[in-house]
Amino acid sequence: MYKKLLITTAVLLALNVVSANAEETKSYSPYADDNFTQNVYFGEFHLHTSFSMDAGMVGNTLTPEDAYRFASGERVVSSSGQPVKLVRPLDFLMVADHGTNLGVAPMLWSADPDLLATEYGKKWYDLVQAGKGKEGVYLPWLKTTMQGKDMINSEKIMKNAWTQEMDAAEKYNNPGVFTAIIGYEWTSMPNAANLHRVVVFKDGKDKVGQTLPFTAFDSEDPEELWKFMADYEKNTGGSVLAIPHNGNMSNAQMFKTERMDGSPINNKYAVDRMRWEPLYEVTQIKGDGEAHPWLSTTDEFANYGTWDINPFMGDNRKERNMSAEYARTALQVGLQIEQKIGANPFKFGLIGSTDAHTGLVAVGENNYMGKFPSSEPSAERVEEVLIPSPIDKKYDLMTWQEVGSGLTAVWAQENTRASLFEAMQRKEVYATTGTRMQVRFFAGWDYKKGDALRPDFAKHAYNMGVPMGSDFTNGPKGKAPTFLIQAVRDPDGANLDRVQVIKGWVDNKGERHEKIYDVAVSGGRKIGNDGRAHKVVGSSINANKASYTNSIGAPQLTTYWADPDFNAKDSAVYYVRVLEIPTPTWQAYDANFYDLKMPKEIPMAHQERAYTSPIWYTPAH
Amino acid sequence: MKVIWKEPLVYFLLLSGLLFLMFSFFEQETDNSQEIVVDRASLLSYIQQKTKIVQQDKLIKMFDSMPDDKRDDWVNAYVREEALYREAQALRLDENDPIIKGRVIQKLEFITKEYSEAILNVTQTDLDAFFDNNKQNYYIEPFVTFTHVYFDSGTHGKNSAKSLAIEKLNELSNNKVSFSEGIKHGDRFPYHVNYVERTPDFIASHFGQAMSDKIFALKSSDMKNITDTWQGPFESEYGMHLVMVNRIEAGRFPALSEVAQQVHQDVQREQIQQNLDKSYQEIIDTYSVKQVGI
Repeated sequence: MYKKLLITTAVLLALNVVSANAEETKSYSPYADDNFTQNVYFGEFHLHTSFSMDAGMVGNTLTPEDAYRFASGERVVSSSGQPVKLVRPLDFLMVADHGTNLGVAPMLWSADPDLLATEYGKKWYDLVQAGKGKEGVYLPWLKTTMQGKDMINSEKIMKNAWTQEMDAAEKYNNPGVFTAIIGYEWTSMPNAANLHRVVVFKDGKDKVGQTLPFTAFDSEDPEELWKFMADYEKNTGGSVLAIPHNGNMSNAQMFKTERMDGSPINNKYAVDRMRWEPLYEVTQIKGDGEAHPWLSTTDEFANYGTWDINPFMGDNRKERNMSAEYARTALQVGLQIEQKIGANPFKFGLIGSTDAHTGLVAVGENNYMGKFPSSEPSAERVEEVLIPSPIDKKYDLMTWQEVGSGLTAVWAQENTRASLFEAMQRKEVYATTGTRMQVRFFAGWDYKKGDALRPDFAKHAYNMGVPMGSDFTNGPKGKAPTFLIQAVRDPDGANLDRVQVIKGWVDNKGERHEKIYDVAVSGGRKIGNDGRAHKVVGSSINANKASYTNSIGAPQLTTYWADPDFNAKDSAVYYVRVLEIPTPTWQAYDANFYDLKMPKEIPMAHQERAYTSPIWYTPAH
Repeated sequence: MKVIWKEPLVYFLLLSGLLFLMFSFFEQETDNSQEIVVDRASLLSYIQQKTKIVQQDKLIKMFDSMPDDKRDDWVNAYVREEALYREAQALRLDENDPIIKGRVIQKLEFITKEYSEAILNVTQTDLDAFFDNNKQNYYIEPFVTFTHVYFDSGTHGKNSAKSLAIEKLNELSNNKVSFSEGIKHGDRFPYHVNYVERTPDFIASHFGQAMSDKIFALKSSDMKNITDTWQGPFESEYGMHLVMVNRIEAGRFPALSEVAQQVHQDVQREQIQQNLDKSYQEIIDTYSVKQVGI
């Protein structure tokens, strides 16, 4: 016995000598063994090119290759013939063209022989040639597609288009410099309700090429999409996730508490949804979906980029269940469902995208290239109808209503497909409305006030707690959770107004609650006992010139915060919202550039923002 | 044959077929002349295809201010295309298309499905029988809540990672390191530190199947010895892990009353499929099949 112990000890000692364990043999260099995520990368997962029918049929001439070139910093010429370039290159992009009749539009223009071999391919080609591209092809296509009918229905054509999409991503993927990700959009629209998801692959063409996009023609039910995704992982050994968007246009379907067949969400649905859909796209050109002023009545910043009237349905806001459309409320409803069925179907992180159909990720307010080719810069664009309502002209969506939003920020070790994808899986990502501000958010039990001032802020925060997107539970008895938050402005953008923690929770009666805490504000303003700073930051905008200065606000806000209202028995969800100082909108830049006088209803100033992925607290068993 | 004529579905399909015949009879013949007419309208729409100018007024403005030689180029290009197109049509290259065949069958399937949905009837006996035979579909998955301390095989090497983990296990246990303090130890894992109420599939997607299996196997021992003690090391695809479980629940089958609504819909779906299969067979039975020299 004694001998055995001696040998074990000797073996352990010997192993220890060769190990490079930081805890046992400290290096002189304090950074030698750093392995926390130090880099934030900006880009997006939801850009359309001419390969999408609703882009290529309405004047978009840019290819996926053009899109990657533009995002990686090159100067390109837009569909309307305008030269355009980004202020700085982005770090990553996924072209997400609609899977439904992927690539058919450019094939129609180029008389693709495989397409013309199909009944409708030929018919549409003839109509396009007869100058009836819009009335004869595009509008009828919209109608049949919304009914789930695939008029082309050809695996060969899908394969041709999909190969081109994959090849473009492979060509422009440059690990460490610019990451091009393979994916597409699953465009499910039962009864004109937007249940769209972008589908993101971790892998290259070798694996993704073994499958074809599962489209809304295959099924409009997200559960069928998840089955396709599970099969993909099983058959190829690859990884895939899906990101829903535009709950605001979903007619209360996005976060409803029933499955598509009408039965209540069950355990399997909740488990599957969170396995395959760890993220939600909370902001984009077709509206900002963080919060709605009717749901969050005490939030003076909730009415940002609100698009709550679906042109296909008219104004049914009073009849529909808005709480199934907006992210903040859905996060709380998820906690309620978890109480009932033991699993939370709405435990998602937050990202932002453009959903632009121009092939251009250009949502900087002074460089805003619009949603469709028709909303690319012109003196007339603000007056143009963006989406006509089939019901009544007063429900038309106008181009001036477009929101110059958004982008995704990813905290990752390196700029590669694998590293970015892993960060998305662990939800260490956040949404911005187009700015590139840096935001860090951590929760733990032992942070101290002085931690916010440490030079090794991030390293310490990682060593003592969990970052955005994480769970925490089972804390020390009697202790409230503590948080560390750091926000730094976009180097080419505006100063910061304030940092807020938005908390949602469910009490022991199953009621949901939300509360906003201002946790760091610029300009020495006071935060009252109610947790709010009621004094506004002011404005430095010169309205005549569409300009502003960083003479107000703060370039950086870093803070420690402890939840003053914590109850260890209530499930809770915390996320951070950071507001910039007021800046001119793209409409204001238009007014200045084209010398226009804008009607009153058009917003000329706004406060851009970031929303972090949440951190969830679950009571211990 | 007599039995088949009593089926309403067959009547329904027959009527649809007659209507189709009537419409095709009155359809006009296509123009097949050898003359190519180039008029303003056709040329305009041709240019629109090629230049992709979507707005009509812009196009007309551009066309009217075009120099003559440029306009002639457009006319020539148009004539070439039109001639080749008509020739391809004359050779009937658009006929005998298997995709059109598939599409027509699909239309018939849609009609049959609507019919199948209209003749549903679900009873309590159906529900009980279906639930008994399909219990697996209503299974509630097992889940686990744990935190872990990680040692990276990539940086330490597998053996060292293991010995470090064994050492650390003693330290954590001797010092009674709590669930929330575990984070201060070990290396950074690519995914999370804490896993709250997660299922085997989710754990497998972050740690690999083998480790997921091992964690859920902990259930078989005495629970009191598992929760709030450090276990391991467990090997994942990335390295070695010491695990402290807070909660672990086995999977279970709910009672019919818990999932009654869902079962009802599933029975409906099954009935529709049975009706469909029956309908298709009835259609096939109206044909006699002769196999020749296969």
